[in-house]
Amino acid sequence: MTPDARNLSNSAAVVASGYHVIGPEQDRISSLELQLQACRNAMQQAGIDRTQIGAVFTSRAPMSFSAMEWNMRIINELKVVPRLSSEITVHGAGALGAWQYAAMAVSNGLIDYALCTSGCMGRRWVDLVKVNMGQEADLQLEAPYHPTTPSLYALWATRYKHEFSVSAEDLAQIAVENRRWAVRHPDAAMREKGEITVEDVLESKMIASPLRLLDCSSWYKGGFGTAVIITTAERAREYDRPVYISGFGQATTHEWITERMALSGIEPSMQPNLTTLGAKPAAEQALAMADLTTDDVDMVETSAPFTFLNMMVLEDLGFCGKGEGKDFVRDGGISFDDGLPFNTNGGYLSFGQAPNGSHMAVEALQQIRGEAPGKQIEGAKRAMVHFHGGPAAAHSVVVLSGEEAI
Amino acid sequence: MSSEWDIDWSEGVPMMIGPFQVGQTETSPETAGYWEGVHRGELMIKYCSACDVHLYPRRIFCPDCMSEDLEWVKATGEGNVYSFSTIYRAPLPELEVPYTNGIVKLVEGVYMFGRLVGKPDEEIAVDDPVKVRFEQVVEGQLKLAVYEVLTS
Repeated sequence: MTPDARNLSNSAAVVASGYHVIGPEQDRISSLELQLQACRNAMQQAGIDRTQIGAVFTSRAPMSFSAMEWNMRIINELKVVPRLSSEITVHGAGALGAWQYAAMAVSNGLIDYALCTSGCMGRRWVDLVKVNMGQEADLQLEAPYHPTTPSLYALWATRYKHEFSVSAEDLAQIAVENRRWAVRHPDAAMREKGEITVEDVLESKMIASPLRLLDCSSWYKGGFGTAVIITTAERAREYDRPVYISGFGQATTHEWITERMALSGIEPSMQPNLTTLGAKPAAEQALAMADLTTDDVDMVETSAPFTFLNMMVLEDLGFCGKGEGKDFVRDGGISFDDGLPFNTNGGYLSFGQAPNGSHMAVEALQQIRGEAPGKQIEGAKRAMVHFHGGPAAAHSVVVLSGEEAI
Repeated sequence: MSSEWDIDWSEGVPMMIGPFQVGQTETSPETAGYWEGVHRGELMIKYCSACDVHLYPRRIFCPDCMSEDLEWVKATGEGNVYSFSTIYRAPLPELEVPYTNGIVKLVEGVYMFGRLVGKPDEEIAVDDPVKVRFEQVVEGQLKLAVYEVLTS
């Protein structure tokens, strides 16, 4: 990274965070309305009108509202004229990737305010299992064998467990800890299900070996839309409790999992492997930009949708070495009681998977601002947020800091 | 069972939203040699003679030397299980479970995805030797390369 890239650190900030939640009992709305309500909420919070929006970046089109060029649908409704706009299509990593483009656009003075939005009504409208299948497998060389999405991720799990002697019990502990956060969050999908034990995970039905039901994320039963307004650090100081973007990184390694095994000679795949994620180079860049280490981080939010992937993410973000995730978790590293606050709304496993994952970033913003709807982490000022998508294909990492932390 | 894969792709397939065509899903001449091989009962992969390296069937040029002078070559079809997963919840209700898919490492060094057959699902292990054969994984559907898991 060049010194110029380090100048990006804390040069942009989130000054408004809008979100719109539709519970499983509420009337259905479209994903378009879901996101627009979040945009309206964010623009009102920031005190800006449509003439001030210089950039619009969206995550990919919602799975329940497929449209080509989703950003154009948003612009169409908001009646804005952005000077920069795109749908950031790196699967679920795009929702947080959008923030990175926004930070670059405002920090170099191209525009004043960027709007980033994401969200999906998900299973309120479509069979997400079928939809997801078409997106996760190579239509010629994988899909004809009828893989399921969990079974594609399971190929990482089988190999990871094989290479590092990770047990099902080690992985189950992650589901147990995530659930403890979820039961305290008003919007978590698994809130009413109560806490679970390692035995509950090990006794849940096998979905795609070695992944059991409680090793897998739960679909968010309603809809979750988010929007943030990002502006320069200088302008952010006029706002109440802005959250600064201290560092960011992205790394995308493949589209289909078998193609990941055809990738070599480049990090994180100098040799073909299913054990190190693009999260590693993304996190290294984010921490280097921020001039921080993992010791400076108060909480971690990830969109990892399976227990084993959460463990790999902890390793690749740098909280422990490769293959040491099992020891980190066994030793209470992510203990709800006194470990690293990890997936503090319950994560994909227990808050639920609201496609594109922005609820995890919203959680980090709320924690830093001291307004978490669930359990508030006292004094938390810095978060590492990781979004991912594809079969562990695309990764975005952002380090966020409250004003006191920079 | 009617075959959802039994589509004539030779001219591409129109992508429709209601009555409106919004684009075209293209055919892919770059993988034709692979499917012709499956039809003959041969596992075909690509080969870069400049780098002396075998490549995944879809490669259009060698990512290292950038040569587009790639040859289709017949693989031995032998290799080992690199990873696998046994599916207990199928994506379609008509599919019988369990069944196992995996990634195998061919002796040529190319990794391929496929169905693992010939050994009870619960006994399949990483590193088991495999040998390709060609069969319909679902009766009436496209013939595919599958990998027989041999006793190690």
